[in-house]
Amino acid sequence: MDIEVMVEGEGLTEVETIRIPEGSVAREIAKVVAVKGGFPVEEAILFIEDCEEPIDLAVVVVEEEVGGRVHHVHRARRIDVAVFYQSRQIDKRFAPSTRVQRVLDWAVGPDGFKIDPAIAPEMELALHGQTTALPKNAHIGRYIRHPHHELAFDLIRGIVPNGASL
Amino acid sequence: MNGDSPSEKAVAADLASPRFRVGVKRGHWRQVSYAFPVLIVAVLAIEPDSSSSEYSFRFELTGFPGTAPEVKIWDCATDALLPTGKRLKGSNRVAEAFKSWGSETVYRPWDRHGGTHNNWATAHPVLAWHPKRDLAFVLEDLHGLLTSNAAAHGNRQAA
Repeated sequence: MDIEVMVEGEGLTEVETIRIPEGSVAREIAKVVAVKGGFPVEEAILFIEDCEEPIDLAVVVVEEEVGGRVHHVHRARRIDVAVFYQSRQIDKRFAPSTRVQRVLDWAVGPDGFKIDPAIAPEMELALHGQTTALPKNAHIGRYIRHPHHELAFDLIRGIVPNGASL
Repeated sequence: MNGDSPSEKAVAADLASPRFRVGVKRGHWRQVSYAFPVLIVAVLAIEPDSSSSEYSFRFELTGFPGTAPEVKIWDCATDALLPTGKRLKGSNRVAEAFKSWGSETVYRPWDRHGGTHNNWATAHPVLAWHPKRDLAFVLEDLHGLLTSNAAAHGNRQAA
C-alpha cells in the first residue's frame, strides 16, 4: 500500500500529490520533491505547512498524520520577507512552508502595517512590483529558489467591480 | 449525458485534482452533490462577528471548461437562490460579489455572466475565466472572499 502525500516545494508551481510506500521515512518525501524541483536530495529540508521547524527526515511516515497536511520541501530553512506598502517596509523571517495567508495576516495586523479593520479584508499580497494577487494558500517557498533567501511582496487592495481596484 | 462527454471528463478531472482535494482536506470546501451539469459545493465562511459558517454554490457546467461556469449562491434546503438577506455581510468586495443583480450569479470576472458584464473580465484578466482554469480556481476565490472577514478580527485559525 502506498501513502498519498500533498506537497509543495522549491521548483514546484502548484500543490501536488505524491505517493510513497507505506513504512517509508520522511526522507522519501524530500527525495521525490527534490527530484521534481531539480535539486540534490542531500540539501532538502522538509516542513509541514505553516510550521516553523523542519521535520526529522528519519521518522517513519504515518498515513493518519500526513493525510490532511501539506508538506513543503526546500533548501532554505528560513526566508527573509519584506512587505512594502505606501513607501513603508516591514520585515520578518518565515519558514518556506508558510502560506501567503499567514504573511498577509502579519502584514495587515498589529505587528505589521496596522491596517484599519474595515479595510483589512480587502488586502492582498502581490510579488513586489507586480499587481496580481497571490493565491493565499500558496507556500511562499514556491516563489524563491536557493541560494536566494529574500522575498519581497507588495500589500495591495483586491479587485472590485467597475474596472477599479480599490 | 453518458458520462463520457468532454465536459463531464473535465469536471471529473477537476474534482480529482490535488488542488480541489487539498481544499477539501483543509476544510475550505466540500462537495455537496453532483449530477452533471450541476455541481453543488459548500464553502467555509467567516461571519462579521467572526463565527464560522458555510455557504453553498450551484455550479452549472454545460460546455465546461470552454464555457465559464455559471455560479449562484444557493439555498440547498429550498433548492433555490439564497435570499439576499441571508448572504454573507462584509467588506465592499464581499457585498459586490454576492449582491443581487441581473443574472443573479456571483459577481466575479470568472462567472459566465459576471465576466461579460461591464467589461469585468476584460478589465481584470487575472480573475477572468479561460479554458485552462479549473474549479479550484473559482473555489479559492470564493473561499478568499467568504473568509475575508477574518482579517478584521484576527480570526484566521477558523479560516
